[in-house]
Amino acid sequence: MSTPLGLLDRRLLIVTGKGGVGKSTVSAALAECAAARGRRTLVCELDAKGDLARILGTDPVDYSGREVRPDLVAMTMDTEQSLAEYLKVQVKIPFLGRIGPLARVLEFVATAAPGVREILTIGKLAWEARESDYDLVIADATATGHIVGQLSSPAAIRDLVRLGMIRHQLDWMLELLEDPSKTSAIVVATPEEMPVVETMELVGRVRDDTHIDVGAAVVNRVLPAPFTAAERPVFDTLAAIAPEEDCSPPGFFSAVEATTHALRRREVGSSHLRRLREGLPKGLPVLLLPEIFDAAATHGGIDLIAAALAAEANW
Amino acid sequence: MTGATIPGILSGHKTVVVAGSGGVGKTTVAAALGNLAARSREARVLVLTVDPARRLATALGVVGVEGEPRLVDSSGRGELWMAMLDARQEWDRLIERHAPDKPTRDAIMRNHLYDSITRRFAHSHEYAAMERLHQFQTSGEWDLIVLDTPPSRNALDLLDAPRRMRDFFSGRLLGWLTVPATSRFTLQAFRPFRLVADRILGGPFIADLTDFFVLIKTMEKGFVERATEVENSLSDESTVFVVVTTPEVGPVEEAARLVGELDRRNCPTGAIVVNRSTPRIDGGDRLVESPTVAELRLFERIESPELLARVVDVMYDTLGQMRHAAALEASLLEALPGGVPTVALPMMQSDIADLEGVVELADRLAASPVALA
Repeated sequence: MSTPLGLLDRRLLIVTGKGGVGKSTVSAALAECAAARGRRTLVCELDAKGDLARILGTDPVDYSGREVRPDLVAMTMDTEQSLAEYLKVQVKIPFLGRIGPLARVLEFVATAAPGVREILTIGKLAWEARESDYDLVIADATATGHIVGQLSSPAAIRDLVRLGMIRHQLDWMLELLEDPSKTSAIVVATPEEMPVVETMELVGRVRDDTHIDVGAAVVNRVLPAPFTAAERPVFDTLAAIAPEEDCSPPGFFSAVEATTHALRRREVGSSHLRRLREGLPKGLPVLLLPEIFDAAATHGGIDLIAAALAAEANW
Repeated sequence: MTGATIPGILSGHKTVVVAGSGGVGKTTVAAALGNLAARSREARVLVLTVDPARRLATALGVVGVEGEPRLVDSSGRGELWMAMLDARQEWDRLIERHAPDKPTRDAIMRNHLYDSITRRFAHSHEYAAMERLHQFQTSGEWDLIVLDTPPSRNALDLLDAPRRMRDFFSGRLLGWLTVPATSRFTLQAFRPFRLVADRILGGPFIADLTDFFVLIKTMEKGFVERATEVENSLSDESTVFVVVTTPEVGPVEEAARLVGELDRRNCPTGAIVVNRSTPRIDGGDRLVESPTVAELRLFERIESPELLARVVDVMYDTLGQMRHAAALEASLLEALPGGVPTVALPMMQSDIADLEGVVELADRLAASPVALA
């Protein structure tokens, strides 16, 4: 790819994918890339797991948000506070002193009424993207099962709710969400069976059930090829040496075993990656992020991933 | 070390609930546990799954017959059956079961809010799965049921689902929303909420919603009774929990939290399975460095020494990385609560996509040493 991928020029990026594939890692890396390029960025974790703050190497963040790097603010979604804010700002009801009863009302309405929790989430993101001074809002969104409901909630509510002030608000929200120059979804996968299958299904569902653009697929934890084409036969020759010919340096057979294991894993991963590329719509950019051995196990590594992402996207 | 073995942990119970973060391999572990039980004794074992690995489910023949148990293996002493639940279909079954009469049932299913509401309603997926589990438990047909929990952010949603369902029906707001609109008291009490809701959402929508909940309210008795039974069966001593994790920060934290929460509810965690661990490779404890080119002269069959040196470097780097990863994983696992039997399953070299793979995983489960974390 020679021209830079335009994702960072959007107003709202929604990062989604199957549980455990590294959505928070990709969200954090995108946010770092944007902030480092002078875009004032808000990154918001929707499911309050705390992974995002951990990956960014910072203390937990709440609904009010905190600047964790220059030009990078992190926050956690809280639909109760989003409702309180909405009622105060939009409906002019100063409910804030009595959050208790409000919470109960919300609990009920949100379990009962279709899309209320979803619209409070998407609404807050859209509001920040439109009204505040952020250049870019990045949502570290919920897993695949839920995201289509969230993304389609404004349109679904518009169909269900025929009157009321929310109708007007839905109009500008949809205008933002359905404009591919302003909003894109980014799907994250790993080169494994279930994430690949779910990613292909998800992209299909986002296209069928919403009018939201899918901007890119990011494949996380891709094992790099250990050997060049010239090196591989050399390894195969070495791997064929039998232990009884033992004329080898210390640890040699352990190194053969480790490398064989890594090669096999990479082969399996590559076949999943091929299936993913074949199953995704033509022309959808697919960005590969390398497996960083320490990143999954320790709290570091995000800068390496951000650098790899920037290189892939040509930023 | 303890004398506990995975088959031993299974044999004392009638229900095994497999829980853990999304993406850690709960379904394959559940299938392997079922396989282990079915081959070691004459038992009818049922694995109930909600969202299985598609290729595995297809290979095992449970796709397309959602909700119905299928015999997948009878080569052992017992039989292994598997059933895949479809949340939407289970929800329909709930309505069938609890609606007081046919007109009410039809009216609920015809209501245009039904679809979007049931997908969200008081954790309906979890609750539907629990009711179905209870049905199988009380049918008397199964010696062991292994439940693969739905992919929810918080596996405890499952345990809380019956209580939530009860709370939903006993909540005052449902009462307010569903008493006849002519009641003056209700109009007074409900007025502020109604005013706000009307203003934001519009009157007709609230009216639709009210109609729907008047119908739902007719099912209160059945739901509340069943929810209580389901809840009781979970804290029963014939039920044991198996928590699955991978050696990564997020899943390990979730597993530790889960075990703690289960303990607080007096639900025992029978075992923790650490899936996809980096295999340990023997061959000296010290971090191995690449051999020198002088040592490499031993490999006379390679023509280019430069190429040979590069390949050997990569090999020793790979070994070093794997050892490093294994050491990091070991330190991560220290966060798991003590006193729970823990089994580490090495990463398989390919995905588990058929019965053969499940059997291989079961072999590893049976063979892996059980340690007290």
